[in-house]
Amino acid sequence: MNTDPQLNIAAESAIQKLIDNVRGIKAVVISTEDGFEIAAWVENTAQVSRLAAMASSMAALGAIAGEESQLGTCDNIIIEAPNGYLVMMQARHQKSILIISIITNKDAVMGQVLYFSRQVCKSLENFGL
Amino acid sequence: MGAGKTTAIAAISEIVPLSTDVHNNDESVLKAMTTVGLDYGEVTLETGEKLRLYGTPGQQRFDFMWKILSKGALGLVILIDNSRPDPLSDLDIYLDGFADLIKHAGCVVGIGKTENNPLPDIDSFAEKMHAKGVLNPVLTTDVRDPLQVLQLLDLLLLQLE
Repeated sequence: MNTDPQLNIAAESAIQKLIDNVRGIKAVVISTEDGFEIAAWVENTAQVSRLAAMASSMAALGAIAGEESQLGTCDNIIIEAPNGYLVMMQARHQKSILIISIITNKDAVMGQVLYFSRQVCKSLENFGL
Repeated sequence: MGAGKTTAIAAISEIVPLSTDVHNNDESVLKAMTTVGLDYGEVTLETGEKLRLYGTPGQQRFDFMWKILSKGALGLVILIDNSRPDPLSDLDIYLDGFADLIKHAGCVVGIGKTENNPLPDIDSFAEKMHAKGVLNPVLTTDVRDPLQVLQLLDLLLLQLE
């Protein structure tokens, strides 16, 4: 899969912003809506490609669940687990939809995760415009 | 991938099928959209029972969905796209990926796009299945035709009787 090199740079910079600002962050993956990784950072050896594919499925299932419930499209998915959180947020760029997946430990503050995730989402949505 | 799973479910479903198709970025497959979550449709059998049809993403990177959708399944229809570079290896991937389900449930293999891609032929697929100890029907199919999709389901249900 070929992606715009400029988009890769924008995705890398989005990831750096999250690493610098989100407490408890363990991994970030930015992927296409069909599950291909564009950029990633992981603290350990988590399987990035697998997370990219899962984010794609979750976002698509979230979208039909939202639409079937007459809630509209799915903006984000939050999974709370005993050892941390997984937040998946969609950046809807004119040319393509990207999914940002952020894994944190329990030290994370959800408001902070969402605040910075939305900021990088917006920057990716406005990329090249 | 590209064998027509979404098309097959849409061909026979009595409800508007649920679909999780998104824009396809995989340049090795010439299609605009691809399933990343699941497809869902329903069809009523002659007995009045409702059969629920779930379609999975075909790409191996989505094999976690294969495991999720295999739970509680009565049977499996594997659709192979004979226009792909190595359809026999594609079959291998699904026979391995769904090995547990195939052991305990029915299975039918449908080979599509054979008009312009006659090879590998049905015997080659049958031999591949036998070599893996899978003794289930394999036939050519055109999933755009509802009757042919229903024929696949009939062959599946016969195994469950």
